[in-house]
Order: sequence, then structure tokens, then C-alpha cells
Amino acid sequence: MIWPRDKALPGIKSMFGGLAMFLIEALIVVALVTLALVLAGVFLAVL
Amino acid sequence: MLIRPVGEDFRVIGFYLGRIFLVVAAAGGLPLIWAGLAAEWHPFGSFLLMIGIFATLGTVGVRLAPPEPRLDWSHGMVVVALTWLIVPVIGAVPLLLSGHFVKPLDAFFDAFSGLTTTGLSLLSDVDHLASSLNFWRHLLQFLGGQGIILAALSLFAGTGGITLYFGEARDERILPSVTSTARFIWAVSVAHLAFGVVALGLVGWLVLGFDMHRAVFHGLMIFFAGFDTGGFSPQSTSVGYYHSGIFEAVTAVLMVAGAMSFGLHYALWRGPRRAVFANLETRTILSTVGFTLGLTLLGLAATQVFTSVTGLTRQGAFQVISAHTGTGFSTVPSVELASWGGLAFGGMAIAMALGGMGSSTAGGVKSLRIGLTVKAVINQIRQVLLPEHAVVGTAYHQSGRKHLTPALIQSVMIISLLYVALYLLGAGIGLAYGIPLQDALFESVSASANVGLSVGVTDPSMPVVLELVYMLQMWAGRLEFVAVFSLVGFLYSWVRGQ
Repeated sequence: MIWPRDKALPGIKSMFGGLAMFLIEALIVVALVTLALVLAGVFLAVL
Repeated sequence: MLIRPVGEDFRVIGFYLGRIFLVVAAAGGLPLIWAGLAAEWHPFGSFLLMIGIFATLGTVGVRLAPPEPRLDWSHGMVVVALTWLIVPVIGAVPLLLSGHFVKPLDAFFDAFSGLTTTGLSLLSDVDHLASSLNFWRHLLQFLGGQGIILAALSLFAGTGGITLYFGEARDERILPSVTSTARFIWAVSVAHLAFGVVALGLVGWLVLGFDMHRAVFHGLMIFFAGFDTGGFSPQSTSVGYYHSGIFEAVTAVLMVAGAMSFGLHYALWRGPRRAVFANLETRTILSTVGFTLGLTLLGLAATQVFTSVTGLTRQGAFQVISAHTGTGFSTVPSVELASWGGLAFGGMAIAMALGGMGSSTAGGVKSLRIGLTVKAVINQIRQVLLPEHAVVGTAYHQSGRKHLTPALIQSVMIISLLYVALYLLGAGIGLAYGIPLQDALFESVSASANVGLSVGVTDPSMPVVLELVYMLQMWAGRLEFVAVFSLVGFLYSWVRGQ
């Protein structure tokens, strides 16, 4: 009943996939901060 | 005609509640060990008491089991609604005995806020709270964010799991079975736990100059609250305590990860990664984050709250990401946040109200519903403008190609309207207590969308009725109404049924 072997679960080898997931999420934050930087620059320059 | 529940129904509900309580009792062992290792003997005793209550209730519940405990849809919903009510009551025991709360209801409020991953707090002097109690508050957020039910499903495979899964406001089956899906969700969380704690710990150790023990403690607490979009913090000044741009950036990565649906995590982990950017939810949330970020930055620039580009970017982006993902971390004090009037206030309030993705740990209306609503409106306009016999496409991408059906639109509209009603309910009651409209609305949206940002209304001196309303909002908002209405219907049938 408790925790049988389940091939659908990611194994240790696929932790590189997990790392890629984390890095892509980091890239999304970098993109958002870049957008914020551009918007902040434009708004402060215009107003 | 309403059918009155019979003894068999109560035994089935008691059986499943019992299993869940046993899982929470086991989870309570972690802060117990922590308290023992840290020689915090007063919390150690209170954790023993809490575990004893959970274990006793769990054992009684499991022993109530009928010969074949078959969980139907209504049983599942009632189990979920009751779990999210009873677990914080018992989970509040160690907090209540800590002496850090003005009244018992405040301790329950904190446990409730933790489990629902809201992050509003009535705790006094969090900076001097025992480390094991701080760990328990943050672990409650982890349990709530990942789903207590999900934990139980991972351990106890059995019939009826799907109703419990859906009851906890999750609507994606990533893998063929619910048990595999539940275990994959835990695998994603453990991967983030490893990467997140290492990254935050390294920043704490190398950049902030913390010793290793302190760096790991803060990394772990911020991971729990960030990835589960909870927003509790071990310090009263939240993430502002660290005064570090890089610490805030890593925290932002965890907040974004927490607000992503587990279906997208699956695509990012195992591919195809392109599917992530074709997804309606991804496109919607990127658009709404961009919109609310622009609105907030414009408001802050216009009122000259921040005069440097870096200051405006850092504070504005962090607060908007925190609000939109439903986390509730802040790097500015509540008093300063309350002074962000006009467009900045609007941007933050809209970001909180919209929330993260479906089947994530975030709250709010959710980007899938926003995306589907926009798509339905565009289709409606196209239908009017095109010739009568023209066929308007209804396909959209969300974990594969799907079609927008009238039944789906109806369901999306109903839940979205219920969220709006919930936001207005708390705001109206806040207004009745003389709280200014802007503050009442902000705090109400924050509670209902399980965000946790505060402009100072949530305070130990707040009216008891408002405290109860915020708890109702956190409960209904977290469970997306269905389980709550099912419990009300079940109780009504018990009283009035035949």
C-alpha cells in the first residue's frame, strides 16, 4: 500500500531535467526584471 | 427531495479524515524533532500534545471504517472542507501555547492563514519566536500548498482519490493515475526544495555573512513560504530584512515556480518545453504580470515614491511578483505599502485578485479562467462580426489542444463571479467597521486570494467579526468554493433531509 515502485516518478538521473526546470524559471524572472527595468527607465524619464 | 445522510456516510467521512489526521500527526513529528534538537522544551511539550490529538482522532476515524469504505463525490468534498477546518484548529495548539498571541482566535487565524498559504499574521514579536514554532508555521504552509490531501493520496492509494484531489482545487491529472500525479507533484517540490534551499543558503552564507546554521534556517523558511506562495517569514520585516537584491531575486524564482501549474512543471522537466509557451495559461499570466507591473511602476513613478531606476525596478517588480503569485512577501513596510495610492494601488490589487495558475499553490481567480474569459469574449465579438454561417474556432492549448465549450465557459464565469463577490464581501464588512475603502478592499482581496500582503488592517486589535470573515475568505478562496458549498449542502441535508 505504501510507496510501491512507480516508473512514472522521476529518477535521480532525470534530476538534470529538474535543474533545467529551475533554470528556466530563473530566466523568466530575469525577463520580468528586464521588462521592469525598461519600464521604470521610460516612466521616470517621461514623468 | 434532499436525502438525509446516514451512519454509513459519517463512517466513510470519518475514515478518510482519520487517514489524513494520521498523515498530519506524522508531519508534526518534524517540528517535534526540531524542538528536541534545539532544546526548546516548552514547544516540545506542545507539539507532543498536538500530535497526540491528531493521532487519537486519526485512529478513531480509521477504526470507524465501514467494511467497504467507498468515497463518492459528496463525501470527498466534505472530507476536504472539514480537513481544511479541523487541521488548523489542532495545528494551532503549539502556537496558542507559545504566549505570542493576544487571544486564542488569533492563533487559529495564523494556523489557518498558514495552511491556506495566505500569510496574513496576528503573531506578536515573530523575531523572538522559538525556531521550532517558526518551522511549524512554515511547514503548515508547505503542507497546505502541496496539499494535505495530496500527501495522503501519495501514501494511501485507494478508491475515491480523484474526488479528494479535485476537492482541493486541483483540476489537472498530469499522469494517468491520481496517485502518480500526487507523487510527481511531491517530486517537483523536493527538487525545488533542494535547489531553492541551496541557492538561498549560499546567498545567506556568502553574501549576507550568516553562519551556516542561520543561512540554512532562513533558506528553508523562505523556501517553504516562497514556493508554496505562503508569505510567512521568520522576521517581522519579511524579505526586506535581508536587504539583498540577489536574495530577493532567488526568492522571486521560487515565487514564480510556486505559481506555475504542476502540468507546466511536468513539461519543463520532461518536455516538450515548447508546450510551456504555447499554453494559454502561460501567455495569459505573462500578459497580466506585464500589465500590472506597468500599472504599478507608472503609479510609483508618477507619485515619485522612488526616484531612481534601480530602486523603482527592485521594489516595484518584487512587490508585483509577490502579489501576482499570491505569495505576500514584501520588501516595504505595511505603512509604506498603504501610501502607494492611485495606479500603484490598482496594479497591486489587480495582480492579487488575478492570482497564479490553476493547479498551483497560488490563489485568486487564476490565469486559466482569465485567459478563457478573454477568449470567450473575443469569440463572441468575432461571431457577431463574421457572416452568420462562419465557424469561429474554439481551440486553445492547455496541457494539449482543448476546446472551449459552453459548459466550460459557464463554470469559469461562475467561479470568477464568486471570487468577485468574495472580494466585495470582506471589503464591505471592512467599510462597515470604518476602514477606508482602499485599505478595506486591499486587505479583503489579499485574504480571499490567499496573498498575505497587508496595509495594516490585519492586526491583533482588529474586530473579531472581521477576523472571522477573513478566515472564511481564506478557506473559500483556497478551496475554490465547491468543497465549501458541498459541506454546507451536506449539513443542510442532515438537518432538513428525509
